Amino acid sequence: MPPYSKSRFIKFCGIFTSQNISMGILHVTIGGLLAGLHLSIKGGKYRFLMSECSVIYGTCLMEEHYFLLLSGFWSGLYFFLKTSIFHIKYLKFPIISSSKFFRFKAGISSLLPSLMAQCIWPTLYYLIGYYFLGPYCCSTILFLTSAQLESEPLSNIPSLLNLSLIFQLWLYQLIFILAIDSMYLMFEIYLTEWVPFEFKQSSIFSTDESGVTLTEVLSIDKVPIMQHLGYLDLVTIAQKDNARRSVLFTLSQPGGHPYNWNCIVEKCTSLIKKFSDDLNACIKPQEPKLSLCAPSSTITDISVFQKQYIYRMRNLIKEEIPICTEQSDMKKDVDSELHIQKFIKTKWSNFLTYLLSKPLIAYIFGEIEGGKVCHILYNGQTVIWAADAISSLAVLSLTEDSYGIAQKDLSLIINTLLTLKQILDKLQRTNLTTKKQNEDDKFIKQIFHSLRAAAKRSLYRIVTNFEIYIGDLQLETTTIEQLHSFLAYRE
Amino acid sequence: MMKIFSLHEFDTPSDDNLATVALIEDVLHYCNYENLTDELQPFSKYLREYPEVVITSDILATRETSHAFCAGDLFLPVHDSIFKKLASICRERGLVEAICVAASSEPREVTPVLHWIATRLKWILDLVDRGIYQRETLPTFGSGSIADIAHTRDWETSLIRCISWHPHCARLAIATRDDRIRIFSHEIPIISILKHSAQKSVCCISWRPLAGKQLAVACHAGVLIWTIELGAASNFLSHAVLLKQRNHTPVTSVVWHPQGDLLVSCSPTDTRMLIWDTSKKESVPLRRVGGDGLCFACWSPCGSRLFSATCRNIFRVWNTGVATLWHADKWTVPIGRVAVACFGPNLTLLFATDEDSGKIFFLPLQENIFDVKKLSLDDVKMAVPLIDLTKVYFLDDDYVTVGGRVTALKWDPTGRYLAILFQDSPYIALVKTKLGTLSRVIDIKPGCLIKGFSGEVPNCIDFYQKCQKELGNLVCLTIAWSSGRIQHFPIIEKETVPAMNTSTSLISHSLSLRHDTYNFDLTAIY
Repeated sequence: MPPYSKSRFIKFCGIFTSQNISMGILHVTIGGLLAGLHLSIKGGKYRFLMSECSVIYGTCLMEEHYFLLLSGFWSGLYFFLKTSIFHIKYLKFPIISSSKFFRFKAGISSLLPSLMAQCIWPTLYYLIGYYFLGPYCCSTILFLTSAQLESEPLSNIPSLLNLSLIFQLWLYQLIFILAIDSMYLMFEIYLTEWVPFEFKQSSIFSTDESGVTLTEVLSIDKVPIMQHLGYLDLVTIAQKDNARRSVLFTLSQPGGHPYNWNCIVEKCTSLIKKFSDDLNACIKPQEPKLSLCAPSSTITDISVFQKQYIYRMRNLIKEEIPICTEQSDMKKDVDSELHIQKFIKTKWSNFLTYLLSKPLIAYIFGEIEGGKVCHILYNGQTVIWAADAISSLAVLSLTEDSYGIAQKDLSLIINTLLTLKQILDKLQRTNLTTKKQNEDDKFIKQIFHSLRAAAKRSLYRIVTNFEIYIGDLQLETTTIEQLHSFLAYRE
Repeated sequence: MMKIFSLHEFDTPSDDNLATVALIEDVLHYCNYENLTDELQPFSKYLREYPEVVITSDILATRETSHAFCAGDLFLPVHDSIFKKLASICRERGLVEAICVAASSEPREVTPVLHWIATRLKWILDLVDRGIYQRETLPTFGSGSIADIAHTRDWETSLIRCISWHPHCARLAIATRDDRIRIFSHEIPIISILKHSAQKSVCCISWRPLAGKQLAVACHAGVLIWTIELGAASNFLSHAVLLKQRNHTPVTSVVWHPQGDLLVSCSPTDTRMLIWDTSKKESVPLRRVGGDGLCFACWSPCGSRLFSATCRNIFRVWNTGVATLWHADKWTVPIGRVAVACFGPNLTLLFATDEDSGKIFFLPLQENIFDVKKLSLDDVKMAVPLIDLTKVYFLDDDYVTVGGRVTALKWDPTGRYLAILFQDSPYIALVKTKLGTLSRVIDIKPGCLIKGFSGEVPNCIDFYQKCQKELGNLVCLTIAWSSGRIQHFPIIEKETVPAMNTSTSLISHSLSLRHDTYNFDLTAIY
């Protein structure tokens, strides 16, 4: 999960971190080593870089060996740039838990054909590059090692079109990328495995801290994978694990507070709330007028106004929405110093906007459109699990919560989920996630669709089970009105 | 040990020109065709909540009318060279897809050499995909065909192919022979009609639980997930996503997890069962050795067990209620394959094979640690015969058979009534069941035989999924007859007192009014 970078320039600067540089060096070395080792083990004609000349006296350079060795370095560099720099890595959690071997097999069998096709490109690039740059490199080597070339140099078209050489070249690219990708695959398989966490049982008898508790894991923002695993475990508890759920619904101490429950509700709702707030902040500048007056606040007025009409048609005439009186009071500074400061600031910002209006500068330094939304959506999986878990727990509290500890939080849960759903609907309408058909974009779209489905599912879950008690939940009237499309199953 | 229930215990339904319309307090009510819509009939007050459905053979689209709206007419066809097409497929959908297209095209078009390579590559890919088990095509009729697998009587010729109730509200989806799906809702007067170029030979439809308007359709090309715009003026506002996988056609069964997040699809040509995450459009295959392709699957109402039936005598029960790997218990039936199965409450599984006069078995799946009866039974876990399906003959005007091969088996969500649809009997058998606490059927009594008007045979059945407590524990069985008539058959255990009834109906009426106004408000705003 990379940090958010506002413009392409900052993104570009972000490449040059020590981690990336060391990774790059490692990639290049491994690529070269792999090719070199393979060449020396395979034996045959291209076994050594230097060999005794057969015709003239002295050492000769085997240019094929040198060609393939260099291609190893090239594959390292190429795939490093491709996988680490221009591609955001994310961990995909499996749909259902399956065995590691099965996942590895499935992963490899889906990777292999695509990699085989992918490897054609670096092969071609290398051949073209060698055709132009080969002679220079070759002469440098010859000069350094004081060796000679026996045969004709490789850098002409007929000798470069040697099929066995091209195949070997392609094979080295494939072996390298396969090794790297299967390593990532193994990481993914091991990291995304379901891990059960414990609950904190603060009774007098068990004082020893044996492991990380669930509530602790949920609050680890710094290590996203831990947070992901925490929410995965929470949703598992909510939907499948009867025994651990009962711990959740009990009081931490006899007669005390339901510490675990409170913690989990607080974590889940705050996560969802933060997520929807962030998204809302991104959408807002796009349509300032509409979002200023949320439709929810004016539903009652309009409905009263419109009840006389029979037509169920969308009203094309602009509504007379009561004007929102949210205008912030302008604080008028009288101090002249502040005045000057302000003047300079506005001038500076004007200058910046002028600069950014130029296409090339805007492209490099301007904010990437939709970039912020994508960045927030990367974290969507945890929100999906949080929504699912908290709604399932709320529903199960009907039968399993003997102390009634879940009751007080129901309205909070419903409101949070409703806000999330409304923000996602708004995002759907503004259509920020469009264009480009690359891999990352596909992932974002998947997450977005899953999020919408999850938000609706969670609300439906609560509504269908609490249908008869909706009146007793002490919800605000606006909330109940918003829930009505769910009660009528129209969403 | 319980005695096996026999079909002899049913009473003969009387008189030929009347159809059965309701079972109220164990009294079977009859009605003639003219009075079906009469509001004064004793059953009609129970049917006000349900949409009225009329389907006749002349509203179905013929080939000409369905062609008239084809998208191909709106756009000019583009003739690309095959290599250009292959290159674009390779770029958009990957190399594997391109190989498949190349292998399936004419050898002349793609040069014989390339075609030869492509077919060999495809063969290797198929081998990797489904192992040694190869079954290219299904028989078009007889045992193992789609018509045999589908839970519809006379699937090939019947007007109505599938019906499905929404799990939460009075919304009915009906798939007809012209490969269109019509959505009937109680509160929405407009009928949505769903059509899609890939929607051919619909075998199974299923509403997504915990969602308002999503419908999964099992058809020849794969699984279609519809998102339906209810009450929209145009049917084009509904849109569908096609989920398909190589070697996974035709799909004969789709079933949602009761929590609405996962979807399972089965195909008789494929030994794998695909678990879909529909919003990600990704699937995970689940495969076990043994048995052929999969005919159908069904999920228990609690979501912790998944039943899957193969085309041979093996069936499996997957334990899906665990966070770790799902794992399957394998069962075998002596003859034939499992034709129908359904789950009741408390993890009770009922199933019957496709023998001509078999038995319906029940299989308690709940783990009981305090099961005192276990000692008296021979086996720890075993399937117990429940209903003997040997054909019996009733003397009406002429002999009427009941029994034989079962086509569909439905249990109402509360587990009190079991409806059995036979392959060749004009009657539907309704059996009253009583479930014990340990997921065992402890009592079974005859309910009634449901018959239509003369000449009508039932095609498919479904129970309304929501139990209505306020209407005297109303259970409603919906039957699609071969004439295109859709009948809602109410079953009432104990009729409510008339005085109470008027008041509740008043309240419900005012409620529905309130609903109307709310809906109206929302539509006005959006």
